[in-house]
Amino acid sequence: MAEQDPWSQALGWQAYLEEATSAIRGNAAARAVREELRAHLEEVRRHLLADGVPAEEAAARALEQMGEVSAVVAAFADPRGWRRAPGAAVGGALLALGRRVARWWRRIWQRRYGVGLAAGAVALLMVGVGTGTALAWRQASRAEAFARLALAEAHAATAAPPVHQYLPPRPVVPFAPGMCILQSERTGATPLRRVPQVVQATARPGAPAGAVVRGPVWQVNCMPTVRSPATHPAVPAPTGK
Amino acid sequence: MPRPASPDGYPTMCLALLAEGPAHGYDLVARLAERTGAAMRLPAGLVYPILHGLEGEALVKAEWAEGEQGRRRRVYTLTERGRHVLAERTAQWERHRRAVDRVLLGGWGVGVATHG
Repeated sequence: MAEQDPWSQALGWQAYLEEATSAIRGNAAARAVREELRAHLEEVRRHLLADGVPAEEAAARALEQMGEVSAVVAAFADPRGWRRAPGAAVGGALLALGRRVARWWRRIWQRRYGVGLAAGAVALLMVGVGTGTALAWRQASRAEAFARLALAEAHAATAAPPVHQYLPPRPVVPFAPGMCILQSERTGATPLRRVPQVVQATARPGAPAGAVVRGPVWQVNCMPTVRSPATHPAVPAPTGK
Repeated sequence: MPRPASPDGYPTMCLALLAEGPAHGYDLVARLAERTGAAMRLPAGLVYPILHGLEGEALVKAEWAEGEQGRRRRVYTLTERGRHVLAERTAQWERHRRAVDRVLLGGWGVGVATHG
């Protein structure tokens, strides 16, 4: 994105790329694919510009040629069963083990009361760990929703083309002027699932520059960026991270 | 958009194009459209999942390379295994095509179909 892309174009591409790679497991893999798709978009746009297509139209047409985003998402969702096989095998093994443990427990329960209770406590502990993990995943989903909120707000602030699919009906964090970079941040017991690692966003005018806004598991680093003076007023130099 | 009759059509066509030499995604899309007379215009977004799938099967390998003006591109190259699979699939396709020709053209798949 080193070329003189209009900011709104970059934002439109980014939203598409985030969505298109949402089925890919692993942040690093998804990021690599986004980089590849972005390089493709650049290539198409460059050819269209060479053919005399106006810049804004070239960006939009490049995106059009990528095709329906849902089709790309579905295509990236690996249909091969072998990747699910280990999960299924582990699940089957756990089920078999659970049945065996239940049988043992019944026997133990009948013979020794104390040991039976201990076995029950272990089972309860396992259920607790499982529930905790599920809750942590849920929290990670919220983190992703947080990022999408911020992106939606950025779109609204720049009067870029609306992206209704990214607009959850909740208020958003305030932004500082300039370009914001949302970065995932691991916190204690909250493992992040696949989330957009870096989301570019534009600040709402009027907020202090260089502000750092922290969400539950997201951190928003705001820094000024060079953009068209016609659409965006000049912003002060960065004041830190 | 017309689809190849074989479910492996697009991946196989990608393998065939890569058999001519390493290429990146954009190049493959353009060459596919050109070769098929734009009859098969695969949306660019779908080329990459196909290529990544082929890479996962070790039929192609990919590496980032710097193009003109420092632009980075992921260039795909056919592997030996990919070449072998391409030969197999091409033979399968040929058998499939002949069988369909026998039904549609009424002969033995040789000659030119005439309409009307």
